[in-house]
Amino acid sequence: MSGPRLTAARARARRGVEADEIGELAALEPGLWRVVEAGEQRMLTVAADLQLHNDDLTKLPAIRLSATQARTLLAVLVATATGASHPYPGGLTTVGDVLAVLHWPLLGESAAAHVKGSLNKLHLWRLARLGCDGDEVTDIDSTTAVRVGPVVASWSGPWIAEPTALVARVVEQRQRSK
Amino acid sequence: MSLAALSETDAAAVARAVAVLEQVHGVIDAAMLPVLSHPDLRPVVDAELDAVGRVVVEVHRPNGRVEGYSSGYADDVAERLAAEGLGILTPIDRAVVALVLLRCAAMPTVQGRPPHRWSAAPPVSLARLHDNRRLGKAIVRDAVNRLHDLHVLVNGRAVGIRPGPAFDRLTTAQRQRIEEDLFVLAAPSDPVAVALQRRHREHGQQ
Repeated sequence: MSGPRLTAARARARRGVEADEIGELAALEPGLWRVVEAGEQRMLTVAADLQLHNDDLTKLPAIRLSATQARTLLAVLVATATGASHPYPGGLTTVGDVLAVLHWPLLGESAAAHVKGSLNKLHLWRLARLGCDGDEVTDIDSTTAVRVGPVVASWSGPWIAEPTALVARVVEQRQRSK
Repeated sequence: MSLAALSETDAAAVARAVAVLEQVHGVIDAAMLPVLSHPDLRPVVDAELDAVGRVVVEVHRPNGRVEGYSSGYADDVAERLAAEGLGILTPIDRAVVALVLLRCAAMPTVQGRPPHRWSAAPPVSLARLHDNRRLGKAIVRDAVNRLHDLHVLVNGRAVGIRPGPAFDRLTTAQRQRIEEDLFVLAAPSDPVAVALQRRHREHGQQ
């Protein structure tokens, strides 16, 4: 079994590339694959211009976020926005700030619980990262740290301009209303 | 043949097929990926996927024609990853998957109603899974939620639970191995099951 072939499969299965695997993965077709760096984590994913976006996915079977999960992810992007053209790495925020974007306390306890549940799912899918580096978050509260997750680092393509513009508008509206 | 040896149009079609197969969950209609039925370009897609330990998985209609495609780990790679403990479910999660497959795939098949593909099998209610008294209700519920998040099962709540899109990524050999394990589970003392277990043991020792 050849080196890069098994190394690539391992990287996909563990959803991460080890530092000593980068050289071997450089042998892969660059028009198809790339290693994305997200802080100390690295992921093997498709080349930047091959990432599917909404226009493609409407015709294809895909797993989609629920409405609450999508709203929560948008709130994380708003709360961590730095004004940069790409949402990764973004800033450090808290669960309380994410809830505030979603109009906590008007949101209500039940809806807030759903948002916290969504944050846990986003953490599991690595779209958001809960807690400080290396911490295992078992129970989140309003002081728990939140960042965008490493998967956001792999977002690529012109479609990113759309959510970035949306996030910028929400940030501006929030600043005006303060 | 590599992408560089292809025309720009053909290379784009191959790249697009690889990208779609690797990013989409579930079976992609064959009409969406005509490059996979192209006699010259299909081998290029196969080679590019093989370079990362993956293969095209074909889903066939009962009449034998290709209905759609997915992609998954090549058999030798899947065995190696499993041996290294990568992508392995916990024993509890495996037990719950086995219960769902027994209810959704094995039992309907024995009754002459095999599901067209596992991910399209009729769902089973959570209450039926609780018929298994050895696994407590909370354990089964938590496992179903975990497996739903991993796309191994689909928890349709009131609609029921069924195998998820992860099963569409299994090759014929990988699915057959699960079918054999289910047979052993259902009738461990059957002579066929005993022979299967012996073969699995021998294969594992190689």
